[in-house]
Amino acid sequence: MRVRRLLLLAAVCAAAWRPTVAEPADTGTPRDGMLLQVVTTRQGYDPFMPWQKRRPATRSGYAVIVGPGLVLTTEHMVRNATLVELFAPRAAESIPGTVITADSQVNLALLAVPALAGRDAFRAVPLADATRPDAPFRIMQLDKTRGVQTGTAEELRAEVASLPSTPHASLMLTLLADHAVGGEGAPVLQDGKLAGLVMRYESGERTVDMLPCGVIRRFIDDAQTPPYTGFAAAGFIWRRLVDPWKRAWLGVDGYEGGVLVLACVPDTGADAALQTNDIILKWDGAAVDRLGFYDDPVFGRLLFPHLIKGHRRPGETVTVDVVRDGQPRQITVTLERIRESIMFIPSNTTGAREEYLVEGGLIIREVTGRYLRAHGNNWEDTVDTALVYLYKTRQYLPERPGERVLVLSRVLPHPINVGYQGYQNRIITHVNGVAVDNLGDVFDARRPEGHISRLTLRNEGVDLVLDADGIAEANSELQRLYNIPALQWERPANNAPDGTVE
Amino acid sequence: MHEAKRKSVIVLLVCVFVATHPPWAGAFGRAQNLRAGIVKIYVTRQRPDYTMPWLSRPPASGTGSAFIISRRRLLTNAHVVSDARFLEVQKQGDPRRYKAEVKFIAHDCDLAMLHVPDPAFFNDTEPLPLAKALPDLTDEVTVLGYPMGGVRLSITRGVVSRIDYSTYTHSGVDRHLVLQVDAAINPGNSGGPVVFDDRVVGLAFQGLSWAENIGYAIPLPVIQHFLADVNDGVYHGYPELGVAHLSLRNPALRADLGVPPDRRGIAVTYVDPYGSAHDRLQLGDVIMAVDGHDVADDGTVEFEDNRVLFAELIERKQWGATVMLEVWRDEQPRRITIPLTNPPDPFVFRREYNTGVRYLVRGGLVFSPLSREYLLAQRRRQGPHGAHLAYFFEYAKMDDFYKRFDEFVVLIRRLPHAINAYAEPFVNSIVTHVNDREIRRLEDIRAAWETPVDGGFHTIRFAGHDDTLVLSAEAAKAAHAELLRGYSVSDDAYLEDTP
Repeated sequence: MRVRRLLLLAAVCAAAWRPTVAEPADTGTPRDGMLLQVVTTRQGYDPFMPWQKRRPATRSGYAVIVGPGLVLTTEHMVRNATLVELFAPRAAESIPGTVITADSQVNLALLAVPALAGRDAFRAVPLADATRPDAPFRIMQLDKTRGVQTGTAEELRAEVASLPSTPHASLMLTLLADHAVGGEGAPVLQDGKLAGLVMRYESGERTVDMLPCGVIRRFIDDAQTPPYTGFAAAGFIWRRLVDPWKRAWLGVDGYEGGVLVLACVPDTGADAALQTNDIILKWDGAAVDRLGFYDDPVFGRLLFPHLIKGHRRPGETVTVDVVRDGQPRQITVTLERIRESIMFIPSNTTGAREEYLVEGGLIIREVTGRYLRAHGNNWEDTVDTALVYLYKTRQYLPERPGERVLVLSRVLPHPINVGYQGYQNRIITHVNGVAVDNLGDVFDARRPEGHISRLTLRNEGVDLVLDADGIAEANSELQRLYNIPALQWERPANNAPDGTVE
Repeated sequence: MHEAKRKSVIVLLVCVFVATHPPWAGAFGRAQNLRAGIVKIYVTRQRPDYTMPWLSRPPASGTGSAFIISRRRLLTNAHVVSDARFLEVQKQGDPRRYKAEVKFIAHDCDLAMLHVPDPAFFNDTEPLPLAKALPDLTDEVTVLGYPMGGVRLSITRGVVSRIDYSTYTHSGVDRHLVLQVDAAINPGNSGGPVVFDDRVVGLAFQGLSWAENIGYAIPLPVIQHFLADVNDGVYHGYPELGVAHLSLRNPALRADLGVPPDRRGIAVTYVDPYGSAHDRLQLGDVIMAVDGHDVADDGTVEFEDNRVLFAELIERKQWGATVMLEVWRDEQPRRITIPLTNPPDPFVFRREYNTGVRYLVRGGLVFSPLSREYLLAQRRRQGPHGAHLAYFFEYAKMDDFYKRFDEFVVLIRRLPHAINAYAEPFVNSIVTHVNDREIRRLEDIRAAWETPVDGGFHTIRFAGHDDTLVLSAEAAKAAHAELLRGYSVSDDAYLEDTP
C-alpha cells in the first residue's frame, strides 16, 4: 500500500511540472475550480476475525464542490475510509476531508473540507433546477496530466436500476459518452450547472450511469440540516403480473395494469397496510402497468418505486389503489426510511462494523450478506445450505422484529472448548438456556451469570457446555493467545449500522 | 508388549516365505493357476435421462473384471453390471463368450454376484479361495484383471498402503472399509481380485483420478459380509444405527451429562428417524460400550488388536442382528439392545441404478422426485433455486421435512407452450401444494390435478416461494395431447415404484 501511495504522489508531483492543458474555447465550459480528485484509504473489518481490520487499500475517484467547504462524492468512495484526501487539478498537495453524511441508499456522500472555504480558486457549482434528458451533458474529469478534461454525452435512457456496490435501486440516466470516463463521482453538467454525478462507467459500451440532480438536491439539503432523514421506502416485495391466467385467478383480468405484492417486511408501513396477493393498480395517483412502470412527466416510463424514493420523504403517507380478494379498495401507506437493521439477514454491503462475542473461544455473531460473501465467490456452494436457503428465501423477512440468524461462526481452539472445535457456522437457538434471536439477546442472556456456560445449536441434541469456573481465565488466555483486543463489540444503542454515517 | 510380539511373528513368517518361495516364482508360478479364475466382463449399459425422464441415454459398452469363487459363482463390482442391458463373460484363453446374469447386486457396497447358466463355462476353472484375514500394511499384493490398454489379462503388484474408511462412489453415500494399494488400478480392473499369498483379500473397485499409484479395493470383511448376506437368497444391505454423536473430551460436557469421571463415551446428538436406534436411543444418551467393547471419548473401540470407530462393530453385522449398547441416561447406566432393522430410507439419496425415473407431465410441466441423479444430471446449482434443492437434499430429516413429505417433488422442466409461458421462474423448485392439496409424493399431483380450484385453475405452490404458479385447467387439458406429441413424450407419466 505504501508503494502505491508513493507512486501516486510521484504522479501528482510530475503533473505539477507539466504545462497546463488549454481549456476548450467554449463559453458553456465551467471553471475547473469545482472539480477535485478524491483518494481514500479504506479498511474494513475481517468478517471471520471481527475484532480486527483487514489490510488497507486505496480507491480513487472524483468529487465536486457544492458549497463553501462542502464536497459531494459517492458513498462507495468513502466507504470504510480511514483517510479522505482531495486534490485540486494540477495541484500536488492533498487537502483533508471528513464525511458529514454518507447514504448507500443513494450512493452519495457529503464531505466537509474546511480548507476550501473562502478560497477564490475553488468555486462551488450551482445545482441545476432539473436534469433535462433532451439537452446535452458535459462530463468533467482529470486527464493524465491532471488537467481538467471535459467531454460530451447524451441521454440513452432513464431507468430505475441498482446502484453500483449497493443492493439499493434509484433512478439513473444512462448517457452515451464521447470519451472514456475515468472514475465515479465525476460531475455531469448542463449549462454549467450540476445535473448529475457519475455512478459507474461501462467501457465496452461507453455508457455512463448518472444519478440525476433531483436526488442530489434532496440529499444535500437533508445532510446539511441534521438530523438526516434519508430516503423513503414502504417495505414490500412485489413482482410483475403479466400471466393472464394468474390475473384471472386473482380477479384482476378486468384491469389494465397492476403488479403483485409478494411479501411485506415486518414492522414497516407496508406491513401495516398491504397484504400478500394485493394487486397495486395505482401508487400515489399514478397508474402502474403490469410490469410495474408508470409514466413520469420528465423521464418517461419508470418503475413505480421511484414514486416513493424520488418523490416522497420518510413520514409522508401516500394513497394506494389495490385489488384485494377481487375487490378494489384504497389504502394509505406510511413511508419511512428503511434501515437494513430490520432485515432478517442485513446485507451490510457498506461494511459497517459488525457485532461479535468471543466466549471460551466460541466466536458468536449474526449472519450478514457481507459475512456470507466473505466465504468466497462460490459461497453459495460452500456455505452450509441451511444458511444459503435462509438468505435466498427470507433475507428481508424476520418472523419477529429483531430476529436474526445467530451463528457459532468458528471456534478458536483452547482446552476449554475441546470437543467443540469442529463446529462452524451453526445456528444458535439458546444461550444459558434462554432463547435468543440476535446478538443483543446473547449479551442479555449472559449478564446474570457474567459468562456463557451453555450454548444450544439448532439440530444438535446436546448443548455445548463450558466450564463455568474456568471461563474467565480461559477468556483472558484466549485474548492473549489469539491477539484479540476486545472479546466483544456491542453496538451503541443509538448507532444503527446504516445510520447517518455508513 | 503385545504389539512387539505380533511384529516378530510377522517377520518370521516373511522370512520363511522368502526362503522357500522366491518372489518371482510366486508371481509367475502360482498366478498361472489363479489366472483360470479371472474373467473378463463385456457389458452394454444404458441409463435414463434424469432431466428428460421418458428418454434413455445412449447405450455404452465397456469391460470389467470378475473372478470365480466357490460354488460356480462370479464376483464383481455392482458398478460394472449396473443398468446392464447385455452381459457376457469370457475366460482367459477361451474364445467363447458366455451369457451371464446378475444374481445379487449390492449397491451400498458395490458388489455383485453373477451366474453363468452354461455349465461348460466352468470347465478347466478353479475357484479363487478367499483369505482368512486382511494383509498387513506393506504386504505385497497382486491385482489381476482386464484394465484398459490391452485385451489380455494384466497383473500388477503393489503393497497395501492403508486400510481405512472411505465413501464408496457407486452409491455416493455409504462408507465402508477400503484397502488402499499402490498398484495401478485402472478402468477395467474393476471387479478383479487383489491377491495376497494366493488368496483373495480384496476386489479392485476405484481409483483416484488426480493421484498416481493410489488404487482402492473392497477388502475381505466387506466381501464376506456380502456373501453372508445373500446366503438366504435375498440381499438386505448394511444395517444403519442412525446416530450422530459428539466427543465427550470436554470435561464440562461430561459433567453436565452426569457421567461419572471414570466413564468414557460419546454423546448422542441426533437420532435418525430412519435408523435402527430410533425410539431406542435419546438425545443426550452417552454410549459407553458397544457389544462389550468400551467406547473412548473419540468414539473408537478396541477391536481385533486395532483401535477402530465403534461403527466398525456394526459394520460387521447383518441386517436383523442386534447390537447391545451400554448407555448412560438419567444419572445411571442402562443396557439397551437394539435390533438392526432400519426401514428403507427415502431421504438417504443414494445413486440409483436399474430403475426407471418416476415422472408426471401435466400442463407441459414435468414433475419428478428429487434424487442424487437429478442433481448430478442438471449440474446447475448456480440456478436461482439451486440452493433450495441442496438444502432440502441435505436437511430432509434434520429439519423435519420427512414428516411433511414422502419425497420431494421437483418441477424439473417446462415444455414450453403458451399455457405455461410464465412457469420458468419456478423450474427446479419443490412443490408443496397443487390445487390447495398438500403434495407428499409424486402420485399426489396426479390426484390433485383432477380437481381444479377457484373456477377452473390449477394452482401450484413451491417451497421457498411467496409466489403461486397458475394455469388454466381448461387450456392445460386442451393442450395436453398436443404438448406430448410436439415434444415426443411417449407417456405422460411413469409412476411405478422401484422395480
